[in-house]
Amino acid sequence: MQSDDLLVAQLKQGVPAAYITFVERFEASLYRFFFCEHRDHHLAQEQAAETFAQLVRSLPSMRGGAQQLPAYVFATARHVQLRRMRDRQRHYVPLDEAAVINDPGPLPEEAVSEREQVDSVLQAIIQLDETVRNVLLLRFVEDCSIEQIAVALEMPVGTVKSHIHRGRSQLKRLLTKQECKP
Amino acid sequence: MQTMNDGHESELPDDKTLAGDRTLDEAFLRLRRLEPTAYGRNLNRTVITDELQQLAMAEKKPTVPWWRKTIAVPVPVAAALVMIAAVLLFSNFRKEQVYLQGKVATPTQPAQSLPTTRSAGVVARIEKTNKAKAVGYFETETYVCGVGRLKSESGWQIPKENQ
Repeated sequence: MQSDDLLVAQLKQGVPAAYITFVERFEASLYRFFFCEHRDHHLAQEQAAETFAQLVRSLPSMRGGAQQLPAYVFATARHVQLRRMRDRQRHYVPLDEAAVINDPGPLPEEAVSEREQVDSVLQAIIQLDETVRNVLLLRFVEDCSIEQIAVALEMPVGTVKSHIHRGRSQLKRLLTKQECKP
Repeated sequence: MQTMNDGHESELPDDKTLAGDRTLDEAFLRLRRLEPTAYGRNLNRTVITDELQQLAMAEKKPTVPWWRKTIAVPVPVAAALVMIAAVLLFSNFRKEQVYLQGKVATPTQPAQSLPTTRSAGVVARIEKTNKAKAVGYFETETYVCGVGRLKSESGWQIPKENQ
């Protein structure tokens, strides 16, 4: 914990070595956060890089210590996500169609034999509401606490719990439905 | 942040204690295995290095001396300041004019009946101004507690040699 506080202090001072540690710790998390939203591998990597760029500029003025760091990082990621949604005016497709859209680029897990299973999970999770999806990802994939999620997504703790409860049952229903498909 | 529903929602079971969700646990486990490629990792490091360099460059820039710094003032504030300055200048100008013209009225003597010098000579005007400076203004008010103002008197007192 003390080393984490030291890391945050060094990040605020702009120490390059601290940023390398910081990138190693959060790059996979940020990539997953963006990738699960649109399943675009290249875009997810670009958004992760953009988030890091923004964090370099804003971290010196961050309030709090190591405990607030994950929430701060994901709050920044969410702002990048929202900005992209505003800027690019995405063309929305019905969920039925979205479920069968193929990935535009090569997937990093292509070499892994589990690719089909990952695809099926992604197909299910992409059908969830954006907020519910973010809450579930931060809670169960990134192991953030409920309080950290509340700060990162700017919502009350009670709402986070409610989203987790509802999201789990929704996701389970979607996954079961997919398993039943031939 | 608290909402009306917080009381009810906080009673929900802790998400970690919900049992029997092997399907979900497996799904989340698969998502955890997603990793960025080497290209993505390099991109992150490049971006961070560039940003840090830019920040360092910005810190090295020479500071601007105080007389060359600018401040942003909202238009209404600037307009108000200009108006106040204009009013102050105008009132000062008017005072000067009154002194220069020497049209000073006593309580018993109207301004028009004062002797005026129509000379355009500078010397005459200066003399007039010096005389006008000797004039004193007085104001007397009498108040009674609980009643209010009883008497009010004001005017200009002109020394004998000026009359």
